[in-house]
Amino acid sequence: MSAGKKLFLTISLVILLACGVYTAILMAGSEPTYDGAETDVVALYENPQDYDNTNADGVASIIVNENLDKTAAENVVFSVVFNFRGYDTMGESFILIAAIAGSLVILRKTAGMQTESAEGKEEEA
Amino acid sequence: MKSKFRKKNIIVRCAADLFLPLACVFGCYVVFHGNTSPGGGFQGGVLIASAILLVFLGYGGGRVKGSFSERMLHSSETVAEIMYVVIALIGIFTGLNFAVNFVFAGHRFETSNLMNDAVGYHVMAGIACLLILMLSTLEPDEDEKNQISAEGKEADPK
Repeated sequence: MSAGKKLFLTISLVILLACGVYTAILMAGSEPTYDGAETDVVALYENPQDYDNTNADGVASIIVNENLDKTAAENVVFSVVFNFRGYDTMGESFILIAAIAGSLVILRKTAGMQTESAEGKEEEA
Repeated sequence: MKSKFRKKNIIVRCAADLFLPLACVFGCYVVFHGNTSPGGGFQGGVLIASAILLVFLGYGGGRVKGSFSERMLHSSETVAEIMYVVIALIGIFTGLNFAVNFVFAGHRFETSNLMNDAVGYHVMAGIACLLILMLSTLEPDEDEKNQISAEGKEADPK
């Protein structure tokens, strides 16, 4: 690795690290989104259908109560998968790409070897 | 001469002919109706890719290699992933969040539909590429070998 590449790599990693540290400090200073103080777990477990969740806090209550106002979607599950968790779906797609690239490397080699051995047998015969 | 026409069992071939358009149409239905019904891009893409298996069952591995281009499918998979990322990133460039509904806000049609179609295209190309790779490692059975050798013998004197 040349000196220019090493310098570029070091600078980019330092910038990423600084951004991460700044974000961590901001997150530590902000108010917690969900502490579970007002949630009555026993009542929720015993009678989940009649539980009053209008005063609940946190991301889950936003997803449940303000879903249609935020996304203008028709289906709650669809909006969760593609709007609220868009990063998750993107990661799954990249996992699929990585898996297929790996199997492409392995299986293509064996296929080529098989055809080569078959050609060799034909030449011997 | 008879082995040339008796390539596969005719019952299997007719069943493959019958179910091949059904699999394609039902997969497209699942992909395009992902916003209102159970299913979505992943499941519909796998349903469309199962057409490769039907072609393999009815016509053998040689026909699969001749009908589908593995290189084209692999590159179209990458194109679909780029489509997804670009559609989701436009939300950030308009000043909102990642993967947010930005263009059609207030209407029934939403940008998640485009992302869903991109995922369906991506999974269809990826699983089809994977199936072609796996089927290419299988050795041809005896009927296919006989046909290949018969074709070679017929082609050589001419």
